[in-house]
Amino acid sequence: MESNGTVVSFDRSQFSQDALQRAAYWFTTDWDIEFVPLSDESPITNVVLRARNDRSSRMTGEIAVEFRQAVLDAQIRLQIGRETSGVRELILAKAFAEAGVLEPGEQ
Amino acid sequence: MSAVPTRPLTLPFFRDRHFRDRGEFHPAGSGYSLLPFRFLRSDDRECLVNECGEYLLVPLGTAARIVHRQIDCESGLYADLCAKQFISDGRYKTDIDLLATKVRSKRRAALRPTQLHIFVLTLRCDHSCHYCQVSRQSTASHEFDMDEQTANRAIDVMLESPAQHLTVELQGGEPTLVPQRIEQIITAVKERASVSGRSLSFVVTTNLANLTPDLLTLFRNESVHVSTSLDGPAFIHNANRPRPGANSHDLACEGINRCIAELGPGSVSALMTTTQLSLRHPVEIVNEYVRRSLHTIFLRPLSPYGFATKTAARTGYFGTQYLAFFKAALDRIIDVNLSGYSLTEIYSRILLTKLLTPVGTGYVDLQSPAGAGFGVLVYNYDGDVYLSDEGRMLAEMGDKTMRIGNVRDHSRRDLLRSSRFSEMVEAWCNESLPGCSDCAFQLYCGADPVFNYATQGDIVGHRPTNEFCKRNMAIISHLLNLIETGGDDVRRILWSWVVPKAPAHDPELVQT
Repeated sequence: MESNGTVVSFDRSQFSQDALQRAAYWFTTDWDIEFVPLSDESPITNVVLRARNDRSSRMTGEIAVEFRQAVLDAQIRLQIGRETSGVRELILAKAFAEAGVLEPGEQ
Repeated sequence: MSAVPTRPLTLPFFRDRHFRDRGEFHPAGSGYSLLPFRFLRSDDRECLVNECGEYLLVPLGTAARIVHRQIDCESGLYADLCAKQFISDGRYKTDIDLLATKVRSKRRAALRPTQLHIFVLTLRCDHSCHYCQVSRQSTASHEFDMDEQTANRAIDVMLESPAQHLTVELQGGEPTLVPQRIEQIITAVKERASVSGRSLSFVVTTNLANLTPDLLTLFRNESVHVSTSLDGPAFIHNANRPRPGANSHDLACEGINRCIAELGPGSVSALMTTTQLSLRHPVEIVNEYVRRSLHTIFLRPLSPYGFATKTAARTGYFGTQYLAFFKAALDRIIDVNLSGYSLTEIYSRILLTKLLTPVGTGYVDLQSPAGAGFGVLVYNYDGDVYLSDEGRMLAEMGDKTMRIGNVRDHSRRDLLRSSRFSEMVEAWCNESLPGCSDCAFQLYCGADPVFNYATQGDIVGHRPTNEFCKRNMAIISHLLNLIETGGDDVRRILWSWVVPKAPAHDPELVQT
């Protein structure tokens, strides 16, 4: 792991890899992002953000807070998705089944 | 004699009925269930949007509190969340049934079979617009005209669509340079569509510089809607849209006046294309539309196709500059409305329909599944068929990636089962695109694989740098802000764009 960049640590028991990646996606314009698990035994993943341009270079002081909030939001979204995926599929199936878009026999 | 009964109703049915105790209407503790929703954080609030596009603006942290069951069941927020089906307090079956009905209403327009059919009658044009998406040809190049046989085959393919309503859009180049083709297509489509009882709309997209009395008669008799360009006052319009004689603005305005006079006030609509020059003059552009008695305006950004890519240094700008222009022009449009003149911004109307009403729209450039190929098919002058107008524009730039076949060789079924169409379907639904799948504005927005391909090199695109995403996020956020903080008068105007009443020129309308 290179020594420069802002390091933000996440406990994998609280924040999934999926959440980290979904949050990181939105930062890829201005930041190089590296995921570094501390070790196989440790639950901590370090995310290293390195500024890619002048704009992001001016934001190194705030990026940790911003990224942490983005990961938290991503985790909440995943939780909503997990809790509601079944009912969402039911709603959509019901909606399209009665929308007249399926050929007879496919409903 | 009083019409109101004076003797109380004493039937046993009413005597024995009473309301249940208040406590029975609220579950003990926080026992609610989540229903599907997405959220977006801004600086000072969160926007929650449910599965059918209803939204709530709430304090920061609310989404997390909902998930962690920290919402007080006695609070107004709890009541709002239940009423708009973000959570269910036990009436699960009712909530699911209601949501399914609302989802069906919201998505119905996007699920209709292909309604919009664009016929490119010629690439010839007498203008040399800097941002021309068509890459037009000179008026002498008749080899770029659609011949009668190709037109008939294109009509064959169009009529294979099971859509009950068909919109036939005739464009170019400049379609009025081939008036015989306009008449042929309208006549043939009317005759053949009548057999299956389908309804029709005809639109001619024209610069109005070659509008003959015969064409106006045809347009009047066939209820053709005219769509034209008006980039603003003469100094902007002529600079953007040069032609021999430098009089494109005069001809456009004269044509608009003739259409209004002979076809009726609602028969012609105009749109503008925003260039670098336009950015500095939002107020003047809006004022020009009022001066020309037009009641709709479309603040259209530059598209990354055709001549626009070659003249980018002269006409191009950054997305942030366009958004500043859009907001300034929209402010002016609202002021015009407040003064009593009805003027609707079309793109805002499309978004407001999605934000404020239970229904979607059929606007193919802002749909999921993407309108390309599903909502619209484009038949080029040479019979080639494209998924969208933008796909055809790419072909004129030498890239035929979005070509799915030719009317001479393929039926509609062949076209929609082509390998190229199947590839596009991979990136067709924003529900499955990175970034879009979690976005709160998903139902208000759409997928544009052609735009992604043209600007970012692949049909999926990279959302953080995608101009389609940035533009729509910003405009939707701005409209939400206007709805929430603009005041009663602004809200009334925005609602009037979505649910119009009498037209503005109705003399019985009185402004109080």
